[in-house]
Amino acid sequence: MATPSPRRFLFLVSCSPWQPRAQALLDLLMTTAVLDQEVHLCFWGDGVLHLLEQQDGTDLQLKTLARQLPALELYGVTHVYAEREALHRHGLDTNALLLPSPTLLDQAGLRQLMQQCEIVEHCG
Amino acid sequence: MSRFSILIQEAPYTAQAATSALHFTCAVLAQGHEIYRLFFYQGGVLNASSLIVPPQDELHLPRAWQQLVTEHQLDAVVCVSSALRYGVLSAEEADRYERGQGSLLPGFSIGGLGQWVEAMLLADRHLAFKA
Amino acid sequence: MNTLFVLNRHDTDTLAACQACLHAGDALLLMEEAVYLLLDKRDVVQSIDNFPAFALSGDLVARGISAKIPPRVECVDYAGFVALTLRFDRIITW
Repeated sequence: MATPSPRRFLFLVSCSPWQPRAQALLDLLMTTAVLDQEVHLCFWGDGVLHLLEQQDGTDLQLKTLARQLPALELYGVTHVYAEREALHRHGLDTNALLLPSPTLLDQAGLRQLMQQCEIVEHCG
Repeated sequence: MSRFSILIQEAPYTAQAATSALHFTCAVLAQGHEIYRLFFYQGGVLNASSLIVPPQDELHLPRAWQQLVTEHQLDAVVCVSSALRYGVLSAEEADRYERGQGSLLPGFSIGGLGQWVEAMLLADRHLAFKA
Repeated sequence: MNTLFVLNRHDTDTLAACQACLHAGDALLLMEEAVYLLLDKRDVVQSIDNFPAFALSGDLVARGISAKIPPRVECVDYAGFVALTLRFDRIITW
């Protein structure tokens, strides 16, 4: 397979973690990271719900996507963002998130991020 | 002439996406552009299933895709993890997993998500059809 | 970078979230169920006016609403859709 030069990808997650398409997006993100592209991950709107701690689908025999998120750093995914307003709206404490210290963004920040990244994959 | 990569993420008939993707792909080719790759992901892999039997008064989507792929010799890749999950198995996989005959339509190949990433990087334009 | 945002859901929250991301030079294409948004008289939908908006003609005809959409929305067929994708630097399926 050809190895093109690295491009900047933004994975914008607006859906909750229990939608199957969220796992699909995460799989694509990890593949992109493994292929040495520059990956940015932004949790927006309902997407901030991925950052709730203590998610556990075991009793429902459902795979808990949240368990994969802390491993993203091992894939070289270090640019992580979250919508400040959505965190507040959903009552999430920014000091108690599944991924520590995401960069908090407002709408203008997201627009700027979307301009900086050439390829944007949205899961809503 | 431009090069397009197209992702189909929905099963036939569960959403309009697969039909829209087919129409778009046909329009790309009709205008003399190139399809770099079609990539079938998640439920989209069912567009490559040989087991689908739609009502006779409806468009046979898997057959329509197969016709397009073979007529234009398109690179049509079905994501391996999605294919296993949804039971779209090549003859080899059907044998490996002891599932009897394969159910992947001829003309389609099995591949990994990396091929979609590559398809995005090497096409002039790429887009996804999903619900 | 100019972006063509493609919407296919009849959902004003999805539309509003998309509109908040629009940048000068961007445009919207409504297709499938999203074309029903063009019947909506609410403010969030009217604010589409600030950016070029296109609708897929086949989806309008299928839903019987071709004559009911705002005149400034340009209808395109699939050939037009392909041409549109080449007018913008990238496409984001929202």
